[in-house]
Amino acid sequence: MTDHDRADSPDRAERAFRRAFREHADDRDFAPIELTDLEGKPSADLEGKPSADLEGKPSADEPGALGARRRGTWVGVAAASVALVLAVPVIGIWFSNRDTISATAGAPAAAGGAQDSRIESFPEPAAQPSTATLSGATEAQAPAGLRWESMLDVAVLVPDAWGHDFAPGPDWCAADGYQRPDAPFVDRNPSARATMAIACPEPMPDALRQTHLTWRPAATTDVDRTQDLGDGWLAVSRRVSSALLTVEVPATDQQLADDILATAQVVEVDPRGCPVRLGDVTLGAPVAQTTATDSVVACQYADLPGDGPNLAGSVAFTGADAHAILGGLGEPVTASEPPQACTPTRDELTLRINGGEAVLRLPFDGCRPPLFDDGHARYRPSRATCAGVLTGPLWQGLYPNEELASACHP
Amino acid sequence: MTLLEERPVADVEPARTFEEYVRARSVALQRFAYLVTRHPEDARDAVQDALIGLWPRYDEVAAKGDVDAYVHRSIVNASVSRWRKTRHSTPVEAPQDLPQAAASGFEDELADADAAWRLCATLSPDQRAAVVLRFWSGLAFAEIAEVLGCAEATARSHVHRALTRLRTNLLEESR
Repeated sequence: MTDHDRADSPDRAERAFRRAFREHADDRDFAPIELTDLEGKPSADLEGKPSADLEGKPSADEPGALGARRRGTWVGVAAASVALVLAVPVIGIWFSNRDTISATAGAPAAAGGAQDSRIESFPEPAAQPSTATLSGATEAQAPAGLRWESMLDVAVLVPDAWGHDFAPGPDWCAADGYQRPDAPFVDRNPSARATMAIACPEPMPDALRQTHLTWRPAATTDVDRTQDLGDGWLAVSRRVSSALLTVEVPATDQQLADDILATAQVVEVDPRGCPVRLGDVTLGAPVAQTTATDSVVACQYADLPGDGPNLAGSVAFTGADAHAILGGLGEPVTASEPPQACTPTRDELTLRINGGEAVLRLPFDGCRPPLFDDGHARYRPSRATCAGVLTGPLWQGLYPNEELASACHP
Repeated sequence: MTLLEERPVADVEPARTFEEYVRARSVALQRFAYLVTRHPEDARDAVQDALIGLWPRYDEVAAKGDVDAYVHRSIVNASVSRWRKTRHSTPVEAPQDLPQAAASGFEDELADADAAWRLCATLSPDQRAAVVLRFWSGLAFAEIAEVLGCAEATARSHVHRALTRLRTNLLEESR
């Protein structure tokens, strides 16, 4: 008896597939594709390689992995902070039980979900992400009902009704007490969170899922994709420059995910005026000389390797909120440099006063004094100037010392 | 014959530039895309879109050493997305248009291949892609999982189920 006589022979079925593919691969006489064919496609710009797209991109062989912290960052509050970092979902409960935070202070997000309603005001999507720089001098105007969120060198529009919360990670099953956020949300600075090395054996239950947007540095192999998460949920991902954006939605809302991702734009300066690279931050006038404070924009930077885009998010404050932040700055202080030598990280919070008239920088690396520095004077961080601005999409989980933790941890 | 010997790898020296890669691989990529999508026009579109997506990061991807895997992944993702958006309406050839199983001998193998090709029309795009990657591209399950963005066990399951269905069909046709 030959293999072919036995229909249940593995070789016979495998041979059948191979033969089928060999024969049918030549069904059509495919013509070679020329570069001119690609140029004819919408938005295919092959005139010159967009070097900015490659320049400075994090060498993220391990998606989402952050560079090893270059020094021991746990001083004073190590145990407490570890608990906070590893229990982010627990903190998520705390926040989800509070008022939903808006990316723009003073404009609280509406309660309730928007996952089942397609936003009519999404602009017509471009076939490919634009590389135009959005206005960075003041907050770029978003269409009605939408707002800008920024991450790395990408800005994307989301429904204004969405809040901010913590997206569950792959270690969700070990995060004791994680609860489903009440409303669709944008993930809070996922680059600043640690994930336990736990592989949950089952897909996350539907009861814990909520529509949300999250992101991470793109890996070389990342491509646009739609993944079936099971139980009627999809993860729609789009790679835009250095970021991989993912919107998790019920399958019935895939169009909403597509609409959001289609608004993604590559930026050098985000819609609230934050340079996307910490290295491009420039200091301005002494903050003490700013007389009328119209706006304060908090820009948070992540400790990503290399010198590429590392903006983790931004929040704008105006009016009384802006005044309250500056009012919490206090008097300048003098401080000596920390005694130990270490390599500064790119983990930093900056406050841009009046569109960059003055800029305060607060490093989170412990290599420099834990003080805001405007290039002219230093100021001790306070709850008003640090914890009070780490809202919305901003989040800091690691602090190099107790002083920063007590002033900044929400 | 081993799987690797059948693997339709590029028979030219490794491409060094994007233009050289396109020139060397565009036909083979369209064949792969056709086997996955079963539509020649969709296949060409999928390859063109994948190449456009590849262009800005070609140097980066090429440095990693497997540009084909990247393009395959784009093609499969596009196929799965299109399939979802068209409500799983991948057209299937009408039964009367399909070649009928032959009786015996050499023709049996042709009949088996026809059965395999017909079965492919009923598979979901990701399952079909797994089978194409296994038996056309000759990839290991770990490589298939990488292209599909799934666990290796899932890739194995896709292929195993397709083989089981084909064996069942062959048994029924043998009766």
